[in-house]
Formats: sequence, C-alpha cells, structure tokens
Amino acid sequence: MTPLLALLLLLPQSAAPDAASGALLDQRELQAACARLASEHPREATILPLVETPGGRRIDIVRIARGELQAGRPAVLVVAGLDGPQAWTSGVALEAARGLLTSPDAEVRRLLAQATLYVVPRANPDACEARFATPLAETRASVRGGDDDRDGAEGEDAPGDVDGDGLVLQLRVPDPDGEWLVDPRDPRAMRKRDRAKGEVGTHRLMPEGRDSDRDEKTGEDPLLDVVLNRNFPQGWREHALESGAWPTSMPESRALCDFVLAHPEIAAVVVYGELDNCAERPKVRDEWPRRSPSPSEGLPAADADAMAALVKRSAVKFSGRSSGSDAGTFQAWVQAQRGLWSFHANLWSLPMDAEAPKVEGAPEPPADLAEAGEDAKRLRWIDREKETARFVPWRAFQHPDLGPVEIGGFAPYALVEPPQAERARLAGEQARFLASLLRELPRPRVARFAAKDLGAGLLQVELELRNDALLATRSEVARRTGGVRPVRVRLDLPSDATRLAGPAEAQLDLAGLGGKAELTWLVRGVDAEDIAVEIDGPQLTASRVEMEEAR
Amino acid sequence: MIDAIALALMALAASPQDAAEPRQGFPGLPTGFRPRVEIAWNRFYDDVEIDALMARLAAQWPKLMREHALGASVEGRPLRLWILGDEASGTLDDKPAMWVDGNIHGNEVQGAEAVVYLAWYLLENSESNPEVAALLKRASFHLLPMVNPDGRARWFDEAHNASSSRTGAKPTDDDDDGRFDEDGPNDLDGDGHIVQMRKHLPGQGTHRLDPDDPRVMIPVPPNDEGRRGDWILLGSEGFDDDGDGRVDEDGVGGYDMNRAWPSMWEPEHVQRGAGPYPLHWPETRAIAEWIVAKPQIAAVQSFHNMGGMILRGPGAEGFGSYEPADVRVYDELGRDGELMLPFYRYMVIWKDLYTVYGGFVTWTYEGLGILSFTNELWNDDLMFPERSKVAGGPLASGDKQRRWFDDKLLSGAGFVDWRAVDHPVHGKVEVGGWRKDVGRVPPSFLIEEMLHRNALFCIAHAAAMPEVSIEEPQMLDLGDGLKALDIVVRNKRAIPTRTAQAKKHKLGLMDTISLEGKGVEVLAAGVRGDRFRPDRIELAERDPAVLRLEQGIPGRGEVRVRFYLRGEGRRAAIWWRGEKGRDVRREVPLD
Repeated sequence: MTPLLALLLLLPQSAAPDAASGALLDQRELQAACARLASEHPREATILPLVETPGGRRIDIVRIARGELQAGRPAVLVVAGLDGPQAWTSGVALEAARGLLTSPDAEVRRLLAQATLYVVPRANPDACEARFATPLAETRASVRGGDDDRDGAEGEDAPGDVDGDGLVLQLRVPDPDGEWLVDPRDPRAMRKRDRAKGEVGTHRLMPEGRDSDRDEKTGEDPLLDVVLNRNFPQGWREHALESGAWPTSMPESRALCDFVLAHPEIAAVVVYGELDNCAERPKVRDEWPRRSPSPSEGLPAADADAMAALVKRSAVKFSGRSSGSDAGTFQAWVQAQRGLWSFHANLWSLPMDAEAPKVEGAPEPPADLAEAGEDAKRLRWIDREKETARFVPWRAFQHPDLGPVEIGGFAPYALVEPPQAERARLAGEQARFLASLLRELPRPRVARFAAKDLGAGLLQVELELRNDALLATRSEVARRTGGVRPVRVRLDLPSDATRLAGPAEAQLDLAGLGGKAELTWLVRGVDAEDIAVEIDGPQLTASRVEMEEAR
Repeated sequence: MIDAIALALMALAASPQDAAEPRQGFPGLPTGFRPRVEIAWNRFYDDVEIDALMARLAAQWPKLMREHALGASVEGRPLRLWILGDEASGTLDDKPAMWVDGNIHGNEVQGAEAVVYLAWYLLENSESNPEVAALLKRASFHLLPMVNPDGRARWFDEAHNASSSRTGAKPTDDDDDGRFDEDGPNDLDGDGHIVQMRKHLPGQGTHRLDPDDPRVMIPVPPNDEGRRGDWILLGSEGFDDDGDGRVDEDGVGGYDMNRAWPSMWEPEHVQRGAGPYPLHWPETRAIAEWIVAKPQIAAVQSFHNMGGMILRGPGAEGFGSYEPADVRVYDELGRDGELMLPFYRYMVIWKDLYTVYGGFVTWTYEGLGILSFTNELWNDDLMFPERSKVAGGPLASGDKQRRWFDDKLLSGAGFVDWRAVDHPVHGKVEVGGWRKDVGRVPPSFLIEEMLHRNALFCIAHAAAMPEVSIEEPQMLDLGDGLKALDIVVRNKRAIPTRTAQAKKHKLGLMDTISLEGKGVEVLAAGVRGDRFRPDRIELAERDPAVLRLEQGIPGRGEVRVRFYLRGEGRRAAIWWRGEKGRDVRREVPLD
C-alpha cells in the first residue's frame, strides 16, 4: 500500500459500515442497512424498489409509516445521494429515519402515525459508487454523453491516476501563461490570479490524467458526461453534454419524477444535495408573468416566509450554501413546477472560517484572513482538525506526456464530505428537522359546520375549514402551476333535498397558521342532522362529516 | 355528361387483351397507367385500416418496405413504423433518411392518409420513375402514419366534433378534483355526433334564425333597437357528469402530444397540454428514442390539419432566429412548397400562427439540427372559391358559404339538422350542427388532391437531402518527395451535410475527409479557404490524415482540402464520411 492510500484510509471509509453511526455506505452496505432497518421495524419500515439504474444498481425507497396507509395520508419525500460527490448523505438520511423510528418522544410517534416518510437514501447509486472505487475520483456523471473536445473520439482523454497512488488529484504545471499562482499565505494552496491587481499566473492546474489525445490538455474528455441532477425539466440546458438527451432521459430521473407524480400525497420534499434554501430565507421574486417561461430562481414572498419560519421553528441550524446552479435539478423541478414545499440542504462543506493554528515562536499569522485564498483557508481547517488525509502535498512527477509536473492538492471528496462525528451529529439534527416538518404539514379541519333555520324549511348551511399548521394546503407556486390540486368540498344532501344556493362542489386553498375558508349554502327539504360534507385533497384523507358530528 | 358516360362504357366494353398493357407506375397522369395496389383516395380509414393499407404495400414491395414495431400507444395500439428504401443498393442506415409522420392530434386524421399516399406513390413509381428510383436507392423514408392511434380510433368510433379527440388517451385529471376523465361530452340524442345545443326563449334570446335558412343562427346585433332574439346557444352537446357545476371539463385524456418535445419545453401552466415533463407519453418517447438513435435522419415532415400552412420554427419568440444559412434552405423548400400547394402559405410558427412551446418539428430542428416542416393540411379555400366571399354578397359569412356548398355539393349531408332533446339542466333543447368531418378535413372528392400535392412536397424535401461526391483529385509534385493533393468534396443537394444549427451546438458527429493509403504519410492538411491561394488554409491541429469538419459540406456547395504527403505508396483512398449522407470513397493514384 502506498503511503498516500494509507493516509486516505483515515477518511471515514474505513469505519465499520453501520448506518447508526452515519457511516459511509457503498451500495451493498446501503442495501443491507435498509434491509436491517426494515427488519428491525417490520410494521413501520418497508422497502419499495424504485428502478434499476443503467449500471445495474437498484434504487430503493424506504417507506416509514405507522398504522393504516389510507389514501391522502400526507407524506414527506426525502432524497439523498443525488449528487455523486455526496454519497455520504445516504447514511445521514437513513440514520435520520432511524432516529424518528426509534424516538421515544410520543409526539414523534404520533406524527409517524399520521404522515408517511418516503426516504430515497441514494437516488444516484451509479455516480455515488465512484466513492468506493479505486482509483478514487470525485465523480458526478454516470452515463456516456459525447465527444467533449470535438476531436472525433469519445471519452478518449479521461482523468486518471497517473502516479499510481490510488487517487485522481490535480496536476500543477509551471506555466507563465497559467491562470494560477501559489498562495503567498500557504505554499500548498493555489489561487487564481487577480488580473485587477496585475498579478501574473505561474501555473496551470489540470485534472490528473494522461494526455491520451496529445492536445496538451488532460482529462478534458471523460468517458461519462451525463449528470443525473442536470437531467430534470426545470431550467434544463439543452445541448450541454451533462444534461442528457432530454429531461428525464435517464431511468433514475424519470423514475423519481414518476414517483412524485404517482404520489400526490407528498406535500413536502427534502433534498440533501448541493443546493441550499434552508440556511437563508429563500429569495423572493415578485414578477410571475403568466404564459411565459418561468425561471426557477425565487419564490413568492408567502412561500419564502413560510419556509423560513419552518426552518426557524425546527431550531436546526443550516449553514450550507448552494454550490452550482439549480438548472435541470430535481430540486428545481419539485419546487418551481410541482410547487411542493421543498427544502434543499447542502449539509456540509469544508469550513473556511478556521483560525490559523498558533505556533510558539512562529511569526504572527497574516492579520487579514480575507486576504488568504479559499484553499489556504480550507487548509487552516484541515491543519486544525488534523484531517491531513484531505490534502496531498504537491510532489514532483515526470509526466509521460507533459514532462515535469507536480501532482497533489485536495483529495477527492475532501471538500464535501464531513468527518464521521459530524455526520452522526447531522443525522440527529435532520431527524429533528424532519419531525418539525411532519408537524407543520397542512392539516385542514372542519372548524364549524352548522345550519341556521330561516323558517319555512329553509336552512342556511355554513362550513368553516381551518388549517392550524404552518404550511398552507398549497404553496403559492402550486396555485400558479397547478402542480398540487386544491382541497375539494362537496355538499352531501339526501336525494329529496334541494340545494337552492351555494356550489355543488368547491375547490379551496387554506393558508397556513389558522388560514380559513368559509362556504355557505341554502337548502330545503332536509333536516340539519342529515346534511353532510365530503372533504378530500391530495394530502388529506377523504372524509365525510355529518352536521351532527361537527357540533 | 353524356360523353363521359359513353367513354366510360367504351372503356368497360374493351376487353383486357384488346387494350394496350397499362404502363407501370402512377405518376399522376390519368390515362395509360394503372397502379399495382388500388387504394380509394376519396375516403378516410380507421387505425386498423391504415395499418392494413401499409401492410398491403409492404406485401407488394417486400424488398422496398418493411415494418418496425416502434412501441405501443397508451391503450396498447401498435405504433407501426414503415421503412422504405432499396436495401439491395446498400444498408439503409448508411443513407440519409426522411422522417414523415401524421395524426399526432387524434382528430387531424388526414395526416395518416398523407403518409400512406407518400408510401404508395414512392412504391408505385419505384421502377418507372428514374427520379423516384434513384431517391429510393440513395435515401430512405421512416413513415409513421399515426403518432396517436388512440385519438384516431376514438375520433372514428365515438361521438365527436371536428376538434375533439386531439389528445391521447392517458387518463388525466383536467379539473383538479382527483378524478380522471369523468366529465366528457355527451351525445344527448345518441346519433354519434357531438354538435351544438340551442334553446328556444322567445323574446329573451341572443340569436334569431336566418329568414332564408332556419338552420342558421344569426347573432342579434347590439344596436338592434333593443329587440332581442328567440334563441340562446348553450355550447357543445353535453352535461355535468360529475355534478361539480361544470360541463364537459374533464373528458378523455386532456393533453397535447405536440407540446411534449424537449426543445423549449415549458410546463403545463405556461404551455397547456405539455404534461409533467417532456416525452411523458409513451408515443412521444418511442419516437424520440428512435430519432435520436438514427442520426441519418436528415429531413422531417409532420402532417397536421388545418389551415393550408407549411410551418417551420421557431415556436416561440424567445428562441430568437434560426441560423441564416439554414433559413435559406428552409425558404427555398418552403417557397417551392407554396407553388406546389397553391392554397398553402409558408410560415414561421410563433410569428405567423401562435406560440408553441415543445413542438415536434421545433425539437427536430432546434434539438437535433434537422430541417423540419409541419404541414397543416386542408384549407377550405378549395371548397369555397374566392368569388363566393364577396363582402355583402349572399355568401359573405363562412357559415353561409359552408352551408351553401354543403347543400350543393354534399347533398346537405354535412349538417346534422336541429332536433329536440331533453337536457338534465336546460330542459327541452335542440341539438344540431356540423358533423366532425366538416371543416377540418376535405370532402371526399378533394382528398386525393391534398394527398398528392403534399406527398410530392415531401419527395422534393427528401430529394434535397445531402448527396456527396468527391471530384477528380489534383496532385502537385512539390519536389523532394513532397506532394500536395487537392480534393474537392461536393454536395449537389440543397441541404448541407451538417446544418448551421448542428454546427453551432456541436450536434452529432462531425464529417471527416480522410486520406488512407499504405506507405503514405500525411504531413499536414487543412481546409482551403480560397481556390487560388493555397496559403489560405485552415490546418488541422492534429492527425492531418483525418480532417474533421464541424461545418460539414454546404448545400449545393463544396469543401476544398489539401493534403501534404510523402512516401512510397502509389495509391491512396480519399473518404468522405458523415452521418447524413452516404459515405464516399475515391481512389487516387499517387504516381
């Protein structure tokens, strides 16, 4: 074993595969962990196969529900392992689900009896499996896409491990035309030159690999191009290789969309991935032109406020930032097109706010932290936490195509994968967040159902529905897109009664936090106790309420 | 008339052995030709009959036509794709292909007959007409008469009007009540037609009857001195099946498969009928998978009704403009089309018609870089000549024209006369109006003309697909063993081997021009920019023996390349290879 590979094993991969610790699980271990959860909780946890990937791996859904699964029982969908580099989120999602299942809290038990949790611990097993491969390379794509460099050959110049240390790192090549220079604060760190300050680059940075096609570039034409979380309809970028031939051209994306469509009881979606709308109040957009293409950026103020309030109530601290655009993502589709309550959390990235370690007798560290480049800041955290496997020092190497170069830099996954203890902590927090979310799912109820006798057999029937939860029965986006259907109320009279006024059937939305809706009818030829209403909704179990009961 | 009957009798009297053997083929001339497969082109066929017609053609010309099972519709009807081409002259996948489909909207039925006619015409003339024969040797046709056989079958079999059954048959909750397809139109009198409802309300109505023709409803003008009409119109025949207070708001399906394609696709709230994601319905997905897997498809035609239009994208203003080089080809084909189809106009979808997000032919061009048209078949200018439309004349209104010609030319069969029925809400009403096969489709006696002109428009489009040749190479001996070999690769047709759209977005594989030969070393090579100045050359950066051309070979144009080479080899082969044309090889002596 090379020393570098031994170092790498300090990364939590070496931990015993056990979801209870938030461990990093490969596909086989993940399936075993799901099966174990289902066998430990046979009445509450059920595994539903979703689809087989092009790589022959199965995507499973773990359904967590206590009690009867009647139609319209509201649900939350949790999706993890969607972005290839975040294989670790699968363990967090599964452990959060276990946390809810094993919670002694009576309220949590009650919530799981009322609502369903669908957990997709790993939506993208083909890309995530790269986390467990040798050589190790941070991988997003999982399907062949095309000829990136238009040289007539497909995938002929992929990144790879040229020095045989088991890691695909970076090549640092001295080049006066390069865009990079060594950070004066830390000779290990590279930062982009600042043209405005007249800085001159000293190096080129390239992915580690050969220059198989002799075009003086390495790793510019990988074999795999199509990225699952670019293959969804909202904001899909046509003609980009990573987008795929069309939105939902991959079995995984299509199956996820179909699952959402087939389960209108899903009121909210939580995605652990590279996007984040939890750390800060989601951006608000005021303009919503009808009949023109809508950008996914921004929410109506009412939706943003409700989401921010929910996060605040949960008392879970989110600190992630979105990395990359939301174009073609699952998150953008559920939020902007389906209008589901949609919480996206980028649970961890390597902190950049660590203080430089104090060394006795050493010169004072630079006073202005902001002056250090991002990589130098990351290295401070690595040094402080002694997470040394996350950075591989630059090492001279005689490259077979490029001549003398250096190989090194941040290890694959080092910037996006938290230490094990942190993962266990995040799983606990997310169990609390999911419980909060279940608590705040819309729950319309009949607040008043009464008849006033107007004389001569004429009755005025009044119905008031209320929603005490934080979330409205439909987001404003859903009202605009029609992605969620409204609550439906139907007056039920005996056949010989007459409805003189009021709707045969009404479609309603109830705002959150005591939002209400009122309906009035005039009827005759019926006694008050024979009047009933039928109420149903996509996230509401159909019920028939008789006036007698409502009193 | 007497003369015509006499001629017909004479023709019948002549015994077969007396007559000269009819000539092969059926180019469009009325005498002296007899088709091998007689098909009546004065009626429409249901989905099973359309498949049977294609099967008859395939049985007659088994070497030129074969079937491919593309998939199945929502209701399980087969999507039968028919591939036409002369395989004896080379594998069809190596030749440029034209995709032609019809009837994506279930009620736009004549598109299917147009595709069958195209197949029939190509096959009947495959031996007798040298141009058709050559086309079938150098190209192929992928024909899908019915994209939406479910919609077609329902339009034929069930009570409908001219515009209903546009959708496919996947149950869809159009009215957001959690129930699917529970409130469609109702054929109140059970006569097989969905027509209009009117109610007699003397002195309280919005309409009155035309004094010349009581079938015609005339709206009472707002300034008619306060007089009111005796009738109100109650819309299309139906009632509130699901008791929600709305009428016919959730019929079968409820979506539009021509809003479902990936380029500029927009969701339901922006583009009605688009569905939850592109290619959601199995019919659309099967087609997309096929076309994406067949890069030789170099032309696309889709048949719809109606309006007399030859349409191209963009479908929405937000796209901007198509590439100018491609627009020149579009314009040439489209303007020829306006001449071949005298009642049709060549138009841009969003600008001249309306905005369409996620249309099929916009996807095949914008997404795949293929020159693509939609024809809107039938324009009732053919039924009502211009002079009947004189303002103020007796036939000035469309309704009067339609009625007059219906009476004079169709014995009045197009109109379902008003008759009384009971309606659950409105009480006694009358139902009546135009049958489904009036308005959007031609009458029987004008079908063949529509089919023929459109088929020949397709053939002209197919004939414009790339055809590449390599001219006689020119060699210069530059001394010291160095030679320069000049090659001209020519495309004699209007469509480039790679459209400007394909070039811009790097779609598909690039064309290559390569030199292969034992003992020959290519030292440098490039595309020449000027036939007189050899120094104006865009040199290949690497691998000069294989020149890659993102721009392809232009329509009716050429690409000039020069190879600098040395070596003892005495022969070499020059190859042009491309996705949208047959590969071409030419031997070059190097002595």
